[in-house]
Amino acid sequence: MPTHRDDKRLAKAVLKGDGSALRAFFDRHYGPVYRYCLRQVPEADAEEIATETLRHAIRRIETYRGEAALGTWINRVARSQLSEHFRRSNRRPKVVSIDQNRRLQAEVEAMAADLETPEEATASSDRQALVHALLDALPGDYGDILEWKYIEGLSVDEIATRLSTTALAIQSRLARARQAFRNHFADTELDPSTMHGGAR
Amino acid sequence: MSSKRNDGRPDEPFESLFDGVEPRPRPSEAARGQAFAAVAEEWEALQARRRSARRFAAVAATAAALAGVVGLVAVQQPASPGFKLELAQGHIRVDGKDHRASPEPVSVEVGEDLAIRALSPVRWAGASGTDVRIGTGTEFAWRAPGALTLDRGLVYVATDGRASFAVETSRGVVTDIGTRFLVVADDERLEVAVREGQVELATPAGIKRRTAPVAPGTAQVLVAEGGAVAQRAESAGHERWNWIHAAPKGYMSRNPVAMLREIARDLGRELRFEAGVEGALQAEELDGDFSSLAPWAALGQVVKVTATDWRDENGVITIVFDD
Repeated sequence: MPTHRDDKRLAKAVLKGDGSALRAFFDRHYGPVYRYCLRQVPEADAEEIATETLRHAIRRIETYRGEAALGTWINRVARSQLSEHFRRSNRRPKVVSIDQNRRLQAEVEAMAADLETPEEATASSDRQALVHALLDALPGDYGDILEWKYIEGLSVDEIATRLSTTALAIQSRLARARQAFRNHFADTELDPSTMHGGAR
Repeated sequence: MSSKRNDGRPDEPFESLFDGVEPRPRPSEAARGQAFAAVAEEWEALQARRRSARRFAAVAATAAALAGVVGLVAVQQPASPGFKLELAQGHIRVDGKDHRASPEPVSVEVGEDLAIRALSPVRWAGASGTDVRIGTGTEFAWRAPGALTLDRGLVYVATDGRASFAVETSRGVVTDIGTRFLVVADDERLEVAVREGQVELATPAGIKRRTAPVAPGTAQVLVAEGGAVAQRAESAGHERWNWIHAAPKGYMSRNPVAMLREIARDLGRELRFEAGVEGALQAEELDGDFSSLAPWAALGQVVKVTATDWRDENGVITIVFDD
């Protein structure tokens, strides 16, 4: 399981010109940063800000000391980029005014009818955000495997096919992924808006 | 399925944690491609800045040395005694003082006036992003981050085209042209063996010789002795490379295929996969610390954890499914 020491090694390899380390850095962090931004800005802006975040992170990679997880460090850069975005555009974080949109209003009313209380609606939204943040915080492809299995409902065989490996290998990784998820879930104080990429 | 929890929250089936949760949103492939291109561009600019800073430091050091020679001593500030490089592995003695990279790398002040003796196989990091290794007993000095003076002993250099590197000896100067090469030198004789790319050798007598392109499974060797330079081809598996193969490399990759390619290159072998193996390995991720393993040991560990096996025949390592 990646540790800050692994993160430090990766950052050092990126700094020293290792192209495969750059690819690993990008693959590991672009998706989580994109989703982090997407919680606050529209899709097109999220893509742009996530890209700018990683560019800034690369430019400053020499200053990463490994005191926090690399994902946490990158998140700080993302927060700064988002603040700059809001300042430039003179906007606030994403707020959808459903009163101004009849279709959205109808959808929300229909959803509300299926829920017992407003608190339940809030809890459901919080839970989704938390689960997404936790999946992003898991190492390697654990997040993908859990998502495919428990959210998309794929079978072990189907996941094995998708990853070009054996069902046995997937069973083993699922067990490790479940344990990692439980550990993160148990440790987490519910504040998904501040998370991505392994805060511990 | 039920699962035990240890977080003090009520037990519940693991699946229920995901009830009502939608899949995570993902950026489009086009957006990913554009983002990676932008990040890679930033990374290239960073590498260029670092190369430029190193060149500037070398020029400044040379200028300071020249100023000393012609007696320009009006500047009170003493000239810098050298620069710092990271000793990634091994044990060295610099002007009588010992430095060990164990268990962590250490930063060591080096310079052309600081004589170094390798007391074990040594690996340097931070030398222009180049992999530089020194054999036990070798005597040398760093002239600049991309150049060293070899008095006697063994030096292995793998630049992979990232930066230029020069090894100066009394029998000539070896300059790489995007390559992996090995220099063995003493006062009488200089041998340069090249397994990838090419090098150029310039002797004090004015002879310049560039190695021929390397054929798979072979190495090109230049020998400078008695005022003449000869060239020949030999097997890439020659025993002269054994000490490199036994030295820890600092492997970082988490992808088994990338790791195997790096190992095969370090061993001077071509890498092949039995049908279906490469695809299966691409989906795997390596756990654990490989950084302290030498190439052969790393190869053994990769095949062990990925339930594969390997054959080494005629300069080709073939990865096969483990029966």
